[in-house]
Amino acid sequence: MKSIQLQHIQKSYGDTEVIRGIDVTIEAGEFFALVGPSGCGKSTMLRMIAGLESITAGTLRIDGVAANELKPSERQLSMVFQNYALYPHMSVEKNITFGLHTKGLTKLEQRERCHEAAETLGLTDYLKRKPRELSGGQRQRVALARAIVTEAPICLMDEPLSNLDAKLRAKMRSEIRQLQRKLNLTMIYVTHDQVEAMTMADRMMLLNEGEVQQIGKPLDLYNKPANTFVASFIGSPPMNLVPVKRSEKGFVASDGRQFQPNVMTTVETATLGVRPEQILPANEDVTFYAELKNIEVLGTETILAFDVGGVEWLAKWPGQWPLSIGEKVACYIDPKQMSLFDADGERIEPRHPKLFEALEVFQ
Amino acid sequence: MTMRNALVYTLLVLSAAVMLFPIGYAFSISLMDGGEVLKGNLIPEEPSLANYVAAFDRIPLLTYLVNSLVVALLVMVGQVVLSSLAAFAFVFIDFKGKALIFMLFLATMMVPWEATMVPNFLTVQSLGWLNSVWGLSVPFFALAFGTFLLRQQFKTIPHEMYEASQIAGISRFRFFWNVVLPVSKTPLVTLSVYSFLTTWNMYLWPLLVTNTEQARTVQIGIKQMQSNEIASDWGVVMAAVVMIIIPTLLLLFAGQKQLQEGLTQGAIK
Repeated sequence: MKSIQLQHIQKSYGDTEVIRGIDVTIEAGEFFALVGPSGCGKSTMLRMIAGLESITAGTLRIDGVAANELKPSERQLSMVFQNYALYPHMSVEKNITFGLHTKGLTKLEQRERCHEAAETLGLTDYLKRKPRELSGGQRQRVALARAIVTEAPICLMDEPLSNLDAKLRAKMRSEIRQLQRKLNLTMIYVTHDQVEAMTMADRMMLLNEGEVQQIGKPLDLYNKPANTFVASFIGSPPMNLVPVKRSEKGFVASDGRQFQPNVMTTVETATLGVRPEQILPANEDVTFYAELKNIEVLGTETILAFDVGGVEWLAKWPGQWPLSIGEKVACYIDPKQMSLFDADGERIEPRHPKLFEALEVFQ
Repeated sequence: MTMRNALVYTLLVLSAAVMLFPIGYAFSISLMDGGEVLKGNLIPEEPSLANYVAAFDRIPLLTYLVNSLVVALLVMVGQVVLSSLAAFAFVFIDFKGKALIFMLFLATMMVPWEATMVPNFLTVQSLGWLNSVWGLSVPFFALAFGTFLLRQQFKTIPHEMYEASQIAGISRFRFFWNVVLPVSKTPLVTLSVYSFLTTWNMYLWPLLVTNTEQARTVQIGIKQMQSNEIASDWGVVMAAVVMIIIPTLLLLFAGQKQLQEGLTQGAIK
């Protein structure tokens, strides 16, 4: 098990800065996801850790040792590529063992390791086949086998599931996670799919335009997004946002709807955010009335669409609701579930969270 | 549809006949005696192999054939080795001025070979390579066209394969040998056949750098037959011509499948 430390890592191509100073420590044995929209620099980040790209500035430490100048093969890591990068003319067995000679293993040891890896991934029956004779999922498994056969303590994965169909993806997700736990790998996993990151990662880092937006446990990013970018990237459907102004009672949207978030602040203008599943059918307290623009009944839940302050909001109600378009429904939002972001989009923390909790106990 | 097919095949057969006529006629003449040739017969009345015996008898045809074979094989191996290594460097290794050097490389394709003949001759002469296989082969080892052809092929190899091998600690040469070459079989065969045929058919350069019977190649031999006193004996000349066509035909048949694939590669995917 090895930890990885990034100290103010930067990357530029000529004058273009693609990574603007990243500081993070990835603990040994951790499943760390790098998430972000395409072009945010997450793959560049991974390739710098792998040694396939040079590091413009900053220090990369692997288990405390500076690794900037180490060759990829000296960094004790394995990597799984998006397109698998299997050698098309070699059998599965050769694909898995090719390169093991550099570790000074005899032919017999190589074969043993190969069979072990193949067994772990259910490839034993396919060892003699060529990659083109395999399905997408099996190729993916060969790529994984090639990574684990080296027994490197660190494993890097670059969008490994993006070429698979949805069903297989869900299956491989849990397989990769189990594999990582079983082998105790330090895993860095790049994906643009926030669902993958949320379901697999111990911790995740959200990147946008080469800058870190937030690092933390998936649920922290979900529940306490650091800014409006995180709020709108994480979650499906994402957090509803609307610009609001200060009013006597709290905050008011441009259409006059009132919100009273449990956040103490002095800002005049802000952005208010609410997760779709936090907008509930009102029982007694009504936060606002919504005129339905669209409605999708999905069996376990119902998605309602309506306008708030000129922005389309979505609400996710559990169960099946026989509502129709144009209908007015009463909605309730727990003030504690409202997030508030300042003019720069940064999250405004409730200033005295302890105090709020205390008040709640008294109520 | 069958009407159209019939038409197409008729045309194809006709064109094939026109294309093959000279070779067929040469073969036919090689089996005739002198009188028959002058009569203008197309088919020999009494086919005989006497001309073949005569061809080997009158000029050292076997020596010429061996010389040509050695030179053509040497050039083929030299071109394939150097072109593939150069192409590998241009595709997989990063170095300063790569694009510029590649442009220079390609620019040499624009210089006609004849223009470099004099300096090449002087070089070969000062190396003492006149009348040797080295003088006939080494000047052709570096081939911009081959490098270009293989570079295009190597560029289709996903770069991730190279990166995966780097992470696994596989050396560049092993990657080149075990991955790049095996997946590029088709263009390598294409290049080999091309090199072999070009060298086999070369005339001007061997004429310049060889002047002994021991060193000459077949094309010179044929010319020599024509201009010597045996010129009138067309049967013998054609027998020699048929003999030197055989290796090229064999090569074409052997490499036909690969060659076709190589020339149409990228057309369908």
